[in-house]
Amino acid sequence: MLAAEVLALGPGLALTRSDQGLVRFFTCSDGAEALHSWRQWKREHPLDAASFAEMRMLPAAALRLVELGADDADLGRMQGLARYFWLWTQRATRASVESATALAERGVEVVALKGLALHALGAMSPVERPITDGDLLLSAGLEPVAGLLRSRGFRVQRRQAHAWTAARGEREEIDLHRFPLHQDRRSRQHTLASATGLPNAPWRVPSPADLVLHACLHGVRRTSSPGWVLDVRRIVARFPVDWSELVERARARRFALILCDTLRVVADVLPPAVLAALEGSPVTGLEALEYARIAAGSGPWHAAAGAAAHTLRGLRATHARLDDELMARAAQRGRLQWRHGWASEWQRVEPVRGGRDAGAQAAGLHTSELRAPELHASGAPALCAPAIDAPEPHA
Amino acid sequence: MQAGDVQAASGASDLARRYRVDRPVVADEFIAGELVVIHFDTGTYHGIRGSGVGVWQLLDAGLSLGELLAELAVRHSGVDAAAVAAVLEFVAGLERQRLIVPCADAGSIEVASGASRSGASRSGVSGSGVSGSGVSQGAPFVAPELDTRDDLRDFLVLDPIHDVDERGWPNATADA
Repeated sequence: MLAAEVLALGPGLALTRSDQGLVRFFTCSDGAEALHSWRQWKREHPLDAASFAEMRMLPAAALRLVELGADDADLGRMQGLARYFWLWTQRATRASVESATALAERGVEVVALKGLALHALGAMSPVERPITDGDLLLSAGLEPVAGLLRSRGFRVQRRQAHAWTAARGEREEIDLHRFPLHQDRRSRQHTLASATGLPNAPWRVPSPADLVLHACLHGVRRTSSPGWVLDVRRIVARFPVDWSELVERARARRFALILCDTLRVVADVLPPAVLAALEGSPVTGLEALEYARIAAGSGPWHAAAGAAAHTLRGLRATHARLDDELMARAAQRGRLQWRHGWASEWQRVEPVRGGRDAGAQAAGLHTSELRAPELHASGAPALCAPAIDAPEPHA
Repeated sequence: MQAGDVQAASGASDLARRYRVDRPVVADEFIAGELVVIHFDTGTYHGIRGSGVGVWQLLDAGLSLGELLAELAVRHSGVDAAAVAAVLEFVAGLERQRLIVPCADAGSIEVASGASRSGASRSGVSGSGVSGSGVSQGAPFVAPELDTRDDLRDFLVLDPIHDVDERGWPNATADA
């Protein structure tokens, strides 16, 4: 089956109907429509009941309300959240800079990920895109790195397969990554190899294609806010994404299905051939299982799908035919069991028309010349970013 | 206020003195009508309001104290001896808090463009309609305010939605 056929079976998993409204508030060029979307979203998400993910978006929402010249009874508290998260971001960034500098001095390569990378590139400000910890991808093992950072006052607080969390003091937390994507361990080598250096910075940053891929795959979770959509739109508007590389990697690493579903949300800022290429990608049983796992969100089906996907990845190395047979049988039955767990609030995404950054393609942005399904890469020019002041070495 | 008046009002202060923001141990951003500043080593958080925002930006642009006071007198009405004293005390407060340090070199002075290396020019969560500067031409002089929060931990543990008043964090409610 092709990705488009698989996606047609369900409402998609990228955004809830409510969050689509929040995205419209941020991206719609019609101020009245944007405010209407905001008020509707706020009715469904009162400030006093905001989740942590929602709280992190409210500084950007405050910026947008001021930009629109709009009143809101909660604007004062939202602006307070901007101060609060700015402070948190500064402390997390400071901790990240100190750690990365110390590691670089010891020959460890460091790549800043996610929000830290976006700040380093000047793509988004700490107010519009707060972070609560610094994400660092490392070229060395985590055990020696943790030992090195212990002398800087950091203590490992949590260990996961793809990253360890180290912290020091109030709001000084860093995530030390083995892999940028927990779903794909081979992503580590690619990100390290393709990262770009920055002047006067203790770290490199992922390629624009990697930034898009990471934002989409990290963002599409049930507990996530739609902030990843704003990240992707900003990345596409500011940097030359090698779309052919992104599509080829997505196909090779079995992310085409998820990537297609998420990029449909930002279709108005993409070269049309990108979605066409992803939609025309063949989907394996493994990929469908992992997609179903995300769609299920949580609970026994989520766990079962996850276990099955894990098993299949292990079996695939020696029994590649098993994957194809699974897919063939599912197709024969005419259905795939991923409707479980989907609540009624999920709705197929309608791309925002006439978005505020929809003109990115016409703005001299470098994009690959694409001919679906054969894609040709073009080189990406070097990224330029403001310098980051490293802290003075301790005496 | 004339230049001579500024000199007279400033008393024995060295008006030729210049300062720089002590980066990178100090970070700043213009948010919601005020400048928020953090000193990483002391762990203190500061909110700067009123004409303090403009003073900060002019200091950061490399103006001497005398040049800064003269510029404020051009920008604002009501810059009298009391206003000069308030600005000088404010600058002394910034220095006491180690947010600014004296510097010997002149730096770049770009008064007309209001250029600043501070984060104050980047972010515009402003309710004043004057993004980034906090200084409006001809506006009445408003005394500079420096709101310092020493114990950052107390404020970081505040619930930023439920433990704050309508002004938002870090302004706690009476029962927080």
